[in-house]
Amino acid sequence: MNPKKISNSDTNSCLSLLQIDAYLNNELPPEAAHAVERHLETCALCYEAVEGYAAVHNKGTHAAPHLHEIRAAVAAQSPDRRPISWVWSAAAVTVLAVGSWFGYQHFTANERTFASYYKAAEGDATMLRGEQNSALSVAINQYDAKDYKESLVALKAVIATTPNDPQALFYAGSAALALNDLAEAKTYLEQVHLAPQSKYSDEAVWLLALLHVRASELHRAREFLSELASRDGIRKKEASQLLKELQ
Amino acid sequence: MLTKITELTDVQLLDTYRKTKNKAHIGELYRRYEHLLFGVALRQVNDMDVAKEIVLLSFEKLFDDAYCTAVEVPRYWLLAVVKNTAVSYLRNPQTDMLAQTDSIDTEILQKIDSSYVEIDLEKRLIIIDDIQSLSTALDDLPPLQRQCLTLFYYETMTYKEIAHLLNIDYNKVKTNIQSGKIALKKVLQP
Repeated sequence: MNPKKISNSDTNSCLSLLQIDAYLNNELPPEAAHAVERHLETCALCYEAVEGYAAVHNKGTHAAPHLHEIRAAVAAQSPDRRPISWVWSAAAVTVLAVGSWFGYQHFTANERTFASYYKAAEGDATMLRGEQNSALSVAINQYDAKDYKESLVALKAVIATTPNDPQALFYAGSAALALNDLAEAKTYLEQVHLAPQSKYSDEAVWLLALLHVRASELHRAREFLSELASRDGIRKKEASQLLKELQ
Repeated sequence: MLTKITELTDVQLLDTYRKTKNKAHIGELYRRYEHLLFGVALRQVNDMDVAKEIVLLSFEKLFDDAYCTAVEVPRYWLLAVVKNTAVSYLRNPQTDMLAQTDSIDTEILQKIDSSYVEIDLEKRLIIIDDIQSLSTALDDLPPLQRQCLTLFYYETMTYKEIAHLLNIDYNKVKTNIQSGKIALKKVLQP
């Protein structure tokens, strides 16, 4: 069979659900709205998708449950790398990202801010070479595979035996946050924050700041952001930017 | 060192799947665009439940279709597969769509291909060297198309702002930009 040819460059600047939501709700400033429209003029996929969402925009119908079901089914079909729990690990971000017209009418500006900044921390299983069989290595590998639920269970077992391990505490906090369990995330991340400085300290403070934004505890979020903005760490720039937004 | 699957480009994901048959690579590719593909299906069928079914059926088709379609931009391939599945459904909702073994519809691909050409046109719209020929071509357009194109590309106004300024419907702005681009393409293409 002669394959049919599809041509174009492989550039991926497609719109996120958050952008589509904001665009259809007229929440973008003119420059950002124009940028979205310029993209729509050149990207057939985004153009058709926005047209599709626009068609149901005012009908009060809810897309989020369908998107979750799609994710679950897709994850089950491609299990080699993406266990089914991947669906739930992404659920917190998805739920925030799908926006108001999909049926989640009560998301606040703070929750949207959280969604625009939050990205689950990268796993660092490569740091554990030589310890391939350790419980921590297994847990971090699960985290790295975005299987946050199983990873959190494994990390809790590690913390039970080594309660001050900053790596285990950090990833437990990050996994809990990915699972949308703010209280548990806060418990672990604050322990990293209060422990002696480590490579996880700044990331823990950053996630704590975002967590407090998510919970609309802006005073506390500003404290963490100020801390990051005042030192030359990897989150200095983002922390300063978010701090400005919150003031 | 092994590269994480999430760090692979779309093309690398598709190439790796073709070599290894590891479905996780198609899964990752699909995951990146699933929200857009759902929107595409919605546009076709205007029903959440049916759109979900179409998106899921499309996903299952990808594993075989990946071997019979030459793909340079995987996300447009995904788009074509979803549209093809939706068209099949609309033609005959009772058909077992999974049982269909045909690869994606030529007509759909041609339509998507035509939108690719417009990308080149857009680049040309902002190239200084083409100003003279563009200016002439713009002058030949119907007034409303010319106004919409000029306000959108040169004045960087939004559809909504243009609609307000010209006192026309929002959708009419989009239509005139599209029609204007198609007309310009005919004139400017070598």
